[in-house]
Amino acid sequence: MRIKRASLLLSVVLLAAIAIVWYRATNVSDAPILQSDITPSQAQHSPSSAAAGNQATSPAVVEVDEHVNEDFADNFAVVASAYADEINYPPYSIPLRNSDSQLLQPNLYHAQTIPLENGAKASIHLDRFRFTYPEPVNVQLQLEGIQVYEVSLSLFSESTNKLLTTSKMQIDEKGYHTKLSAESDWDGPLRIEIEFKSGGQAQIVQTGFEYSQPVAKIMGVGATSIESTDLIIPVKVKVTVAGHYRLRANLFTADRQPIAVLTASSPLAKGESELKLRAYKAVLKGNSSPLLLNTFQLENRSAAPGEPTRYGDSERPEFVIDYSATELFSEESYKPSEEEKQRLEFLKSMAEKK
Amino acid sequence: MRSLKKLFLFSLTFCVSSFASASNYTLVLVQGFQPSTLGTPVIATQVEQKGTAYWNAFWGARSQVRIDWPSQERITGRIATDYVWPKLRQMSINGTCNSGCIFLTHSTGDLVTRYILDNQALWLTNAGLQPLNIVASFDFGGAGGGSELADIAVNLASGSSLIDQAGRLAMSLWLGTTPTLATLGVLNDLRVNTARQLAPFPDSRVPRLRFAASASDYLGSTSLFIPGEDDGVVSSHSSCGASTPDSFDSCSRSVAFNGKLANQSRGVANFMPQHYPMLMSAKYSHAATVGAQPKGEITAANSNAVFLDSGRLNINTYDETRGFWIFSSRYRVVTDSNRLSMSELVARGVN
Repeated sequence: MRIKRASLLLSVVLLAAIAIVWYRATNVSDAPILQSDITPSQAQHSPSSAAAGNQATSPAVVEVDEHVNEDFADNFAVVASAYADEINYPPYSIPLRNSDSQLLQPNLYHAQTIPLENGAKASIHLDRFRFTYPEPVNVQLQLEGIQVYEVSLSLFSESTNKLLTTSKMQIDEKGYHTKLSAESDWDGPLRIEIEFKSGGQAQIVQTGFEYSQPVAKIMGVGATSIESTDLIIPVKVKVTVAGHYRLRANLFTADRQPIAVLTASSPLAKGESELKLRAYKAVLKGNSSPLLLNTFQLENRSAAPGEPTRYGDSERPEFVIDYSATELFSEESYKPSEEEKQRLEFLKSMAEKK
Repeated sequence: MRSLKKLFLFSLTFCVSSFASASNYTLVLVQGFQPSTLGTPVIATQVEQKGTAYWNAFWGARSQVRIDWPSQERITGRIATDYVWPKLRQMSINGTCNSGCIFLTHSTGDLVTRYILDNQALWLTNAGLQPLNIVASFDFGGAGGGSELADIAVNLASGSSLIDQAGRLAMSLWLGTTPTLATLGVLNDLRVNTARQLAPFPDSRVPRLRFAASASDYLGSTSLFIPGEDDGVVSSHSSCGASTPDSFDSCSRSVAFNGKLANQSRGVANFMPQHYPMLMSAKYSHAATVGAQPKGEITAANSNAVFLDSGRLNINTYDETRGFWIFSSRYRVVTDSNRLSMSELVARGVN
């Protein structure tokens, strides 16, 4: 009975609201409908002025804003759901999509534009952010709205400020370029300074990047096997400097569709060694052998504060991965760690209305 | 037997509830870049004093632990060895994070925290200590994606005589001084490329909750040099946690910084791993996000709610008899954001 009375009351209120809205809409020269905020454009083009006979000119505009309240906690429900989806997969085998640009191109250099006088611009372009010895470094200076001359490059160590090399830059269709041949003492964060002259004034633009003397090298990939829920991909590594290593690599289908980013971490001694990448069965679903493994990031991680991360490289940019017998995967599913469960519970607790 | 089962279920529920209660977690504050400490070397006690002042407006009284650091140093250098590490070590020894910690960061504190998330477990394990249990981070005006202003500042410090006057003015407003190569410190780490390559992908999968703003403290002068919407110091690509440093107008594809519900063609679609946009506001500047003063309406970057329904206010029509268009707009507003600051809203959510 109470519900019926409430429904009746609600219906009366709704009918009254509709009647008011209809009345206002049909008598809009008196007042715009349900305006909670009136924008400046409305103040300048009020309906009454339009009704006064301005139809011959541009039509007037009535802007009506409505503000809808939402509880802060509702946000967390969405995030909790997204996080729950993420931890369905183990951290060592995360699904990769075409839109995951950061993971697909982890070593991308983003050229920054430096604003110069009179609207001119300069930017330095590099092939990537981190280079490994003996890779050469191609440097391009692009300019807009400025004529320059006497363009030269100096390379410094960022940590010691030591000058490592200099080079004259050559003009080309995009601006100026040079190719730096690496030296064995280039290691760590480096700074490029490009000096040029324009109208008698000297100008220096600069950027930073990293150069690494490789501490390990990926030599190849061994025969795959199945272990519980995972496809094991043993990666052969020749280690020059012992340490705690982390290897990341991207797994693709044969037609180069992204499947997963795989991660393996382990302490490695100097010499021939191995890191086992694991592809979780769920990321392999619907995909067939062979697969492609590339985009290697091999790190000798910082063992203590102040110790820099060092990097390795790969003998080849890509390896083909053959596998079979996926039916041998165990029935189990990945179980999130206690920490991951706690994080999810935290997000859920935040989603509860206070 | 049934009562035993009930008791077990009750105990389990109770455990999960107390486990999940956000207020049980230790809040760890990680400050941002402080231009005033760029030029002159400061000693540890001064760093602590400046840290106290940094959080004085709101969060200082609500937290138990802070990680303070001086801006004239580099993150992987003395910031890590002299300021971060002693705190991590102490927190591990004291068991500060045994039940869980929440890191609350502002500006460059976002980048410092990402470096901590990537390294703390290995560093502490190697030192024979227990890694910290970090449950989440709340990142206000996060500079983890770098700031284009830092790139300009570093170029200015190199002696670039042709850098345009507007750029120089923006730098002097932001930094209060013209930087020199010797005093760049953490500005080197804040350059867009360098920032985005510092510990870009921690294994730990800690949720990074993003709180972004798009007003400016510098009369818009710095915004000329920052792509997309910005808070006067960092672009939305950084504060939202976008996977690329592009020009974005919103952390969302469906709601603008001012809460307007409309398609955002230049909204962020792809984020750094475990980065989740939470709140946005066109009324807050970079500094105001961690302040106590309410600045105006705040919107939610995520929502399950369906606002874009066929309600009467979403119909844009032309009234032929009267000769005008009716354009309706709908805005999503977080409840109480007209009277509570962004930080206060978050604090109330946590407690």
